[in-house]
Amino acid sequence: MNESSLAERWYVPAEIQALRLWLPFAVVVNLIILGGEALRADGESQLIVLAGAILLVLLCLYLPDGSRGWRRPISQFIAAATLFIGGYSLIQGSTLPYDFWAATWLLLPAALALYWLSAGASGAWSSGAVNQKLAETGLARNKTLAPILERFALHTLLLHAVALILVPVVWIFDVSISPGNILGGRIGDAFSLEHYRSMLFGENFWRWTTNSIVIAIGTTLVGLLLAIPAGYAFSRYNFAGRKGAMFLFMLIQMFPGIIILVPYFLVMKTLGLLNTSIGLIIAYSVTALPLCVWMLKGFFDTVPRALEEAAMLDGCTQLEVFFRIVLPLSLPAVAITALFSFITAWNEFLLALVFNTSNDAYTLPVGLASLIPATGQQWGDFAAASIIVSIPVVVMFIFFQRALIQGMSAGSVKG
Amino acid sequence: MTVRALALILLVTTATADDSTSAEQALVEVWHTFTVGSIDEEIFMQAVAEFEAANPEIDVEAVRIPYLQNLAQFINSSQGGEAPDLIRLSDTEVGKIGHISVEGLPLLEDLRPHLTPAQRVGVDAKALQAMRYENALYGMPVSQGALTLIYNRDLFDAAEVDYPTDTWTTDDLIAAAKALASDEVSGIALPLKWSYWYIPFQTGFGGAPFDAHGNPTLDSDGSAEALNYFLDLDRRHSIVSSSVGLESMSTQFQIGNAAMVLDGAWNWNNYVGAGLNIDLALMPTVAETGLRMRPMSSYFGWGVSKQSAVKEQAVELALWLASADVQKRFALQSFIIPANLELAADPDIRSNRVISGYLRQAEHGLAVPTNRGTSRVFEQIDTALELVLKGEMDAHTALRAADAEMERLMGQ
Amino acid sequence: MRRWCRIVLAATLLVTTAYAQTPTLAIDADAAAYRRIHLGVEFAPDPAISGFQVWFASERFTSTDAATLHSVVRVAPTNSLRRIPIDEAFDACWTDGQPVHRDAAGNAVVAPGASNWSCQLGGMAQGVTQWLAVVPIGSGGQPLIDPNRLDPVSGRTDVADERTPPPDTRPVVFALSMVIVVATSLLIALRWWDARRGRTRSRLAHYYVAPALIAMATLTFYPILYGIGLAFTDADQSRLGDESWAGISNFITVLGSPGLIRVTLFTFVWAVSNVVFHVAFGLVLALALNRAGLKGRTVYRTILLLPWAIPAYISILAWNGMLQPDGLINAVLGIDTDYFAGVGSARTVVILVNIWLGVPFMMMSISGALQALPKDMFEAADLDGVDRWDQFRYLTLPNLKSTLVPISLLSFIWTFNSFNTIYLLTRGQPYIGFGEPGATDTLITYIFAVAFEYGHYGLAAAWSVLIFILLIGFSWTYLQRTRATEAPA
Repeated sequence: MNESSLAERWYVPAEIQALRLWLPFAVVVNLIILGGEALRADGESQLIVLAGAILLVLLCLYLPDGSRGWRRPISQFIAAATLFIGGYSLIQGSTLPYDFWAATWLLLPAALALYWLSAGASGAWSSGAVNQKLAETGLARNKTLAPILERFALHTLLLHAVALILVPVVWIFDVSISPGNILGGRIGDAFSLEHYRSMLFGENFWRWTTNSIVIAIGTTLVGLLLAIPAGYAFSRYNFAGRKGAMFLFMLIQMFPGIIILVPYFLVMKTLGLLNTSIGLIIAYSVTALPLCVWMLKGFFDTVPRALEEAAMLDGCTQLEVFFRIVLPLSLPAVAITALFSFITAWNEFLLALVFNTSNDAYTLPVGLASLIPATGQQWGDFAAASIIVSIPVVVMFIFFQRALIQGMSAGSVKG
Repeated sequence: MTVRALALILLVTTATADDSTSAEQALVEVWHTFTVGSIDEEIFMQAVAEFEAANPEIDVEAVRIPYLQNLAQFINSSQGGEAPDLIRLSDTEVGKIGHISVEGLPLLEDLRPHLTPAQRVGVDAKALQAMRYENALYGMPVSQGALTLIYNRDLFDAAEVDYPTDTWTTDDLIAAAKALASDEVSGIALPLKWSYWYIPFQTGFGGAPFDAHGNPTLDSDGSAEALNYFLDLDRRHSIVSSSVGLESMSTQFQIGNAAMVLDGAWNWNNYVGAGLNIDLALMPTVAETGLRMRPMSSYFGWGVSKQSAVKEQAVELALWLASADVQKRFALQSFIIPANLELAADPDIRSNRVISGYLRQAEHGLAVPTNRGTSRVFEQIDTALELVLKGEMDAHTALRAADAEMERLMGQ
Repeated sequence: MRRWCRIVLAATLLVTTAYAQTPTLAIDADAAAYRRIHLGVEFAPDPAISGFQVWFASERFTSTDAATLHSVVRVAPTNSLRRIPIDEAFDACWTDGQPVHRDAAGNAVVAPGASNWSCQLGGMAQGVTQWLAVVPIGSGGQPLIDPNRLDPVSGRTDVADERTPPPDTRPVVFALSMVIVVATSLLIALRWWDARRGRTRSRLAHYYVAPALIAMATLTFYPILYGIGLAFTDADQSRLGDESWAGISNFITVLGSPGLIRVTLFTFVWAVSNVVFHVAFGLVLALALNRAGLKGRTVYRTILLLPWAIPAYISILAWNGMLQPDGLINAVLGIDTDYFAGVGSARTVVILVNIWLGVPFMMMSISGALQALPKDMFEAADLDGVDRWDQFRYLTLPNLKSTLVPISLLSFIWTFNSFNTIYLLTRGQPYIGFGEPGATDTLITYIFAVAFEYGHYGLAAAWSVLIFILLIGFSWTYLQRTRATEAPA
């Protein structure tokens, strides 16, 4: 086998590679859409989507392989048929945004496939007209094209994830800026800041926020203080009782919590920790410990021991080694465990309620729960509050992102 | 060494934790469930402040407890020896915790020795009865609630349908609902899977969840007939959709998508606040039987913890919160229907269409026994509604099974 | 039958002829109860008397203006009235040694011929002398003696109230001390054991672990041991603090419960499907976010974090609202399905919502782990022409193991024991049958019902212990299989 045929054999246009990867995704998405149509019990749409999905499967199976030229017209025909079906569903279907989205998942793959199969370098390749020159320029072209296509795919994927995340969030936001306290109504049909006003100008809200911030930050600090040494010991040393102790950390999460609330309450009472921030800080630190310890242990495992040993030879003490080398390299894990501890403390409800019965000691989640009246719901206030509540976490996270990125650059240092 | 020191610290903290309240100044810890920032809470805190001013030797610490967690929190705290002195409870909640005992004693104080007969003569006898578990009186009743027929005047005007009256029958209701229905608007919003809304129909057909002795009577013919009639509102008349839940019921009415609703006074402020032009009428009479539909009555009251070290002061506060003066404020400002009968004759109350309307409806309220079984009856009826709606059982079979399950539960 | 112990006063003072004779009052101190003073009244039957008012004050008074009305005992025909047993009545009154008759409002009524009645007067302050006067009234309610020239009797009750004793915290103190002592000595013993075996490198390891271990043990060991102990008792809400040993009968009841297998199966479906999708979506998103040169990474990451940042119960309630028949989901699809009505759809919906809630945490954890992977490894692989899939399989995945194993296991345990999503979305409904767990009940939501709706603490504890054992077995096997506890070479 000579060099030229190697290039010919290796060369697949980036567009075709992309189609090979994307079409199965499109099929999966269309199957999900099919599920949606089944919910609607819309027989015709179901048929259309089903036909589209089948055509996409066929298209995937009959994509050109660069040698069998007869595949090109077949796949072109399938793509055209899919395009037609997608267009039909767009015209025939209702005009909800959802239907446009659903139709796009037929139209776009089909249109791209048709275009790429017919025109340009990939079109030429598809017809089976591969020669060495074409293959070599094609390989060079792929280098610039592939990242673009990849980025397109990544953004499509992430935008879908973002949409799924944002739908409820936008909805909560809409309720929070709608006058009155109802759940229904169209998005963006009315605007009022009354709920934000009533939340932010009530003294209670700020007291809850202060408590929550103190407790969440306290939990983060205490949690890290307890978890880092433990995680390091588990990762670095083999000592008697190590395995048992590691399992013990998992063990405490396994007993269903609700039945042991009262003895837990008695423990806190005995320790004099009811109605205090310290009590919740300790309780939450312990709740977050198993994850923090295991997570950190996993990270410390990835820090090569050789680095430490080298530093030790240079005369660093164990403590210096830890703070100068291990910790900076594990910053992403520290950031994530810190974030985890923070959010655990920020969002926890049951213990905060049971251990505190004083308006002054309430945290945000408990305070928000008291917005739910016996009958009906103050949906507007509730939604405004939940938007406000998530802001500190987002700020906290943006702050932590830096640690994540720093960890990344530190990671490149060690190579 | 360190261990001993730690153990010592532990012992010391326990010793100091059990401090007793000073004899001079009594501190009454009271739990309430009024929504934060609501008008109810404002009236309550105002009343508490007045009480403190009138009783300088008593300090009151009012603690807001999320409504949904109120009962569990009280049970947990009682078991942990940290119960509040005074707590606001509904009759259903009294029924749920009446049987609970810690160290052989109930959670709540029997208020009978604390009250003089003169202090309870003004209180609605049904309300007092609702606060009793077995023989003990566990709460000083302050308010009551029941469903009544609320309607949207504007939607009636638009469809040119006559307003509901106290003499309406269910036939009138169905006819009006059909006349009012359009693409956008439904005649009436009813949650067909909620037993609380079924019970008025049940009584209208001569049934009842319990007999006079508190035994379940779900298996009566009237109950089954009512269940079919209730579900036929969707199945036969199509005036309600079975998918309407509690939340969507009030939402639909609030945004003007439903012309009538069976609801309590607790939502009145929301409806008026949404700009609706509403009015109320008594629950209609069932055309087939000539019996008036009787919604279930529910009550709220103030109860004293058995653990309280300041019971006398707690009772004082409870009596003040149950006084006609405070009840009247709640009634006029927040549409909380008073349980004090003297207020029915009060000119301000009488001239208030809403309060007097609900008081009139309360006369046709169905008192249910306050016991463990009552709180469980909803679940059984809900199951029956679910199964019949799905067509898995007919009304008779489902209600017989529900009744058998109630007998089993109450026999435990 | 009633002993008149201490006759404080037999009042026969100057009475104008217009007034009837003042009744004779007697306080029976022995019959006093908490907040109740026993007052006996004797009088000459007189057809003019239609009832008696009882007045009281904490100071001696001569006029009703200075006193508070306590009660009214009516004198009226009792033929149509019932004698209500003392236990059932609101207050305790007797006449001629028998409970008095009561009218419809529960007020005491004595027959016209009677010459005495007595009451345990409620509402008396404890340990304070009270003054009591009885005023006979005529048919128009007018006093038959001069209401400004009363001569009250005094009495007091010192009987203390019955109060629940505070819970005994001695076992807790003992347990906490023991936990600390045992944990410390265990660590010392292990340290000594290591030293004897010559593991000198790890000489500080036990100190590093000690704070976390002791903090955890202090707070959680007593509750868990208590929970396990509870499983072997007949603890019930109706007699807390008075449990007795019940052996394994709770476990037998649990294993014979209707719907046990169905609920256990659904719990596994629930936990496994959640973890699988959490890890799968978390991995895909983390890998996508980790691509070099991705624009808008921070924005994406921050948005994708939101389900974790918003308190879960708020987003669950929001989902609940959106999934209502007139909610947003149906508006998007243009239909009016009731997702919570059908068994299958309700189950799917609770799982989907929980997946939505859990993905961000998994994504963030995996993102962090990805950051730590050496970049040069992938560069080398790129140069060698190893394709993406193989890079993922042979480089990324093995290196993620030390993160993925513990978080997937913890995620499984959390989901298994999670309560909020199902409780706030469906409360276990739709119902499948009477006296059975609902279609979306998992073991945990069912335990909640057993404990707090039904009040069977012992039984709920037995369920909890079984879950505990199940999870221990599962986790131990999982950790052994994945060798996650092994120290790295």
